[in-house]
Amino acid sequence: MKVKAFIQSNTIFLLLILAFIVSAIFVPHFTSSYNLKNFLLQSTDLLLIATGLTFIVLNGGIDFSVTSVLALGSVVGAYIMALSPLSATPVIAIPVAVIVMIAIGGTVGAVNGVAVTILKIPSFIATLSTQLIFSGLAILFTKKVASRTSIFGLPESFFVLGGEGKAFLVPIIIALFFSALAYWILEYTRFGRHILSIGTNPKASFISGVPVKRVIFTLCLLSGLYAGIASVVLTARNQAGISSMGDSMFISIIASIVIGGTSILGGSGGFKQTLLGVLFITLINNVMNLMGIPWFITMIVQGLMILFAALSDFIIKSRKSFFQAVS
Amino acid sequence: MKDLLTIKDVEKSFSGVTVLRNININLAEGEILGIVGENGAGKSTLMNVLGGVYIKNKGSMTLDGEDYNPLTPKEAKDNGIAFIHQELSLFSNLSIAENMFIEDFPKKKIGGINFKSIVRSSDEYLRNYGLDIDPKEKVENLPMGTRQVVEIIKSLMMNAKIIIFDEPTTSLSKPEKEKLFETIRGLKRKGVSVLFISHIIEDVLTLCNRIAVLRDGGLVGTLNTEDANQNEIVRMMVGRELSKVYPEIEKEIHEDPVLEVTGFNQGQTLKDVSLSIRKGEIIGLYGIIGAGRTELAKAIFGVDHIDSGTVRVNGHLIDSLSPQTCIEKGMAFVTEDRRIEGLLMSKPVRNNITLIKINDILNRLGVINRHVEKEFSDKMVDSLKIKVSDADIQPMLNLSGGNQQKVVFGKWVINQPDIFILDEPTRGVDVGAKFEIYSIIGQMAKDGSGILFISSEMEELIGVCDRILVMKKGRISGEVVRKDFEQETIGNLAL
Amino acid sequence: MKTSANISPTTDHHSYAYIHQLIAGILKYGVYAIFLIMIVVFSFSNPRFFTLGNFLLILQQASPLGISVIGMTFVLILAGIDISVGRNMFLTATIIAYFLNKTILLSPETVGVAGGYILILIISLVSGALIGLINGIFVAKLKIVPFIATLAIGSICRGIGLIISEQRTPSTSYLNSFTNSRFLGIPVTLIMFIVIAVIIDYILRRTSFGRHLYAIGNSPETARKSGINVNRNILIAYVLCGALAGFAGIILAGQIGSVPVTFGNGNEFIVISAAILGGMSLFGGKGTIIPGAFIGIILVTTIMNGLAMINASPYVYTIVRGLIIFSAVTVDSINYTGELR
Repeated sequence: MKVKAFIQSNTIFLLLILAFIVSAIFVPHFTSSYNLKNFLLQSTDLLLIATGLTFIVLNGGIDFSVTSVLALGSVVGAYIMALSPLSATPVIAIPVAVIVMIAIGGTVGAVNGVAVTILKIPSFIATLSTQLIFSGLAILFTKKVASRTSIFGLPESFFVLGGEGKAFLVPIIIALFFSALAYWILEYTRFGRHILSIGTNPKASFISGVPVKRVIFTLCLLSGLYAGIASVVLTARNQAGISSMGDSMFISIIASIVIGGTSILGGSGGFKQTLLGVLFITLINNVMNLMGIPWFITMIVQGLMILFAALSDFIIKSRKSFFQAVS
Repeated sequence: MKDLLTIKDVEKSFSGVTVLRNININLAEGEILGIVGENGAGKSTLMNVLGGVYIKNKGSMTLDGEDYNPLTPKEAKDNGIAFIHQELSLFSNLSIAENMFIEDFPKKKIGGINFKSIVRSSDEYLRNYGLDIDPKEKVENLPMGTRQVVEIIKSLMMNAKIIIFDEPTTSLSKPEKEKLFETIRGLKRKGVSVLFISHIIEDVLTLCNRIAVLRDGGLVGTLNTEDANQNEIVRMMVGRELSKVYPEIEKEIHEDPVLEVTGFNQGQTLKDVSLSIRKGEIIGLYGIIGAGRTELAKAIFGVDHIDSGTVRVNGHLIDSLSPQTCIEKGMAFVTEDRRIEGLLMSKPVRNNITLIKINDILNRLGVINRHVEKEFSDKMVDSLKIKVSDADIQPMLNLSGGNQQKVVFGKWVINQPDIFILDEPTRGVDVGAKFEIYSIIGQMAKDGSGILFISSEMEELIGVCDRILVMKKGRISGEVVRKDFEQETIGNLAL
Repeated sequence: MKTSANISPTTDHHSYAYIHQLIAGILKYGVYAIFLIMIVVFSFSNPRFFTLGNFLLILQQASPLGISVIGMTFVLILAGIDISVGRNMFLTATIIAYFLNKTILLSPETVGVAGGYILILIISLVSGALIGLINGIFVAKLKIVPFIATLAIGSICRGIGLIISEQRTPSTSYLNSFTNSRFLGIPVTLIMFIVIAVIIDYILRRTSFGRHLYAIGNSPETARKSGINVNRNILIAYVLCGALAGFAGIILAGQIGSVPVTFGNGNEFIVISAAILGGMSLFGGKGTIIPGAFIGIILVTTIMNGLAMINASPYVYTIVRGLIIFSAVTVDSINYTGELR
């Protein structure tokens, strides 16, 4: 009985370990240091974005615009570091670029926040439209300044943030730091409590004096900011500003969150779960890559996993209500 | 007139609690029978038993001489019982004609709906009942009174033999009410029987042939309207032995008002409401459903908007009313429905109790001091005697009603509010917990808080309050001080 | 989602509601006013814009996605959504392309006969319908949130499509002769759009099924009590949406002539924004084909056409699309006076 309970409350963690072991045994080159390094690096940007998005999902919302932040941040930052007048002095260009990239995330987040709290547009359509607007801006911007779809020529010292060579721990530390920060906010601060209480029952929270609008706006902001940080790391790793950055990432992001155990309806879940979910999804991607399976099949697998996770949520909920009705 | 419907010795219980007992009522063909009673007297339950929503535990019913025991609402409908609730079952985005035929559209040969036919039929029916409207008009464009008549006509179309009306006049204007009564009299002439549930005694006296009075789940008696008068009916509805025990609390009522509400207006629901509560005073607010009590509470606390009005706490005006500003000024609000508005059901006791208090137990950076939080939480659980195995883990879902309510109280009491608004605080709470809640209320008053106690149970208001305000149709219809507490007086003000 | 078809004695916030309505009115007409201005600007920038030939072109361009908008109407009336339609189009198009290029059954020779075209159209309907069926099962029976279910299923469709096409760009130019043909001077695809529009408009306005859908969108609970099989109707709505999306996909493939890897990307948002501009609400209960969906898709297509006419950078398209949805949805949201989260 105790074993069963343990398995139920730690399913994803155990699955992760299981998957790891299986991959280590059956997948060639999986355990090579090169691959493991790759695996960890790949998980960093996914972790950053998924963590930011988790803030919003905990509240029962969604944010489709995170990938557009990646793209826009990437090209604007690359422009600053490679093509703008500042590019001559990397010492100034790099910090400025980093700040701007994160600020872009914040701006997009703020736009979403206004749409959701003041205009009262449902989050999924609001962020869907901002996604289109800002990803379009990214492409337009790149074409205007570079006449192609990517911007190269970034200063070498910037690549440190992407884990170049010996510095491969840098992005990992950054990602873990911000993930831990999110966890800390949720667990230990009043703001974190407010997020969960609104996600559980917005009406009761409102009557109990929780500043609902303010919290939701801040969540949108956070999601954007985290995406901005992710764009820094990803741009550094790719060593270029890419206008289509994050294009097919969204499924992986949602899959990480949903499989990790955070409910898409809000109110339960957290950042530990997202971390595990991210590791799991990155593992799947990594393994599929090693086995030579094309990316779109991975996409199918992720889609199936999302459906499966949503289904198990449904089954658990209906079993719970069944028990309640009977007891 | 022969009896169309007989109800004999019907009893209904929920989880061991008897809600209806020994109900014996007969309804003749073409008779309009009024059903009156306080909130919770059992009117709705009885109608739901008739309508197949609930299944009775004991007793028997006959319809037209045959055994009648509906297991589902559909069965009741098929037997000719139509139930018109306060929330109409019309689709606002469809036309009258479409609504009438929604369950069974007559088809043309190709498969489409025969609109000509339904428009014609609807038109006929509408005219028969004196409504001069285009059946193609969308329901959302109709005033409330008209919608009701449409709903009635819909039931008639399904050959209803008995139509049950549940509080039909609460949102009607005088002319609309007149029209409704005319329609119902028309039904009577056609041999349809009517069960008319209402709080408004004068309506019942105007319209019905006979009146049945329910109280605490039992039938007090049935009168012929010609023999009845308002006072007698009220006495039958509310008169009871004051058997419950209420805690004796020694306290002082100060002179200064702690809460002053002036000139609250909100559309049709609140009309120029003003009240004031002094330190240490417990004010009861009585009234029937729809009188506007919860609306008033929500308006005072800033949950809903008002057209005009001011709130002063200890003399200071609150600029923009919102739960946040009210809480800051020392107000507290225990809402009517704890599951929807009061608690985070899936979260543990501790999170619920400290939801507001955490504003005060923060370190820098907004970090919650968990140690202090647990202290506060445990102290509350202790002093309110909340029965829970582990306050940090057990979700609210698992607690009993009484304990859930105590957690709601705890959430607010912990902040030591100066003003406490309570909306039906003992609803769904067992007797033992009720007494504890009364004690908590008394203690708070003793400590100097001003309390607004909204309730539909006159007895508890009489037992606990210093003054009782009565609301009726959005206004304060009267005020009764402690020494004048009398059930009939209060009842008359409300009904 | 609106939770009840009732009016309980709610608060009548006089002044508040009045201002609300005023803003809603301004915004709604403001959006159309902006469109008018854009059309004027286009006309002046390029004289070829305001010509009969161009209008016919716009109508022809609008037809395939217009058909999908018609399908989306079913789902929107129920306050649902289907963001898999673009990828539905892609999968359906790749399936047909596969048959065209790799099998004897539908080789170019057999296709030339009228029967062949009809077979292709039927296959596209069936393929789309199957995808819609899966969507419907997840939403109606398994009660998964529509956008997550259709998002996931859409990705799966895209993946399967890429497997079938092996990431290449299969040609569908054989369909060209059908999709780009004219009948009495009117493009065949436009005729199909109009025919489908008229039929579906009839279904929505004048059949039980249609009226039941509006009822469910208004209040699912009341609908259930009135004996309407809510789950089944939701399922059928998604099937229809998928079927029409598949159909639209094949017509689009015929018009373009091939099925590139990016085929259908983002089409769901064009479809949804056209629907909302045409008067449908994300919150359910309202929407028409004629004139609603019609106006919506023509408006959106006109803007896209206009942008091309003034030689706008192709990258502006996505931005404009995003702005269109944003403004349309803002208006929808402000108009909605029911319960919100």
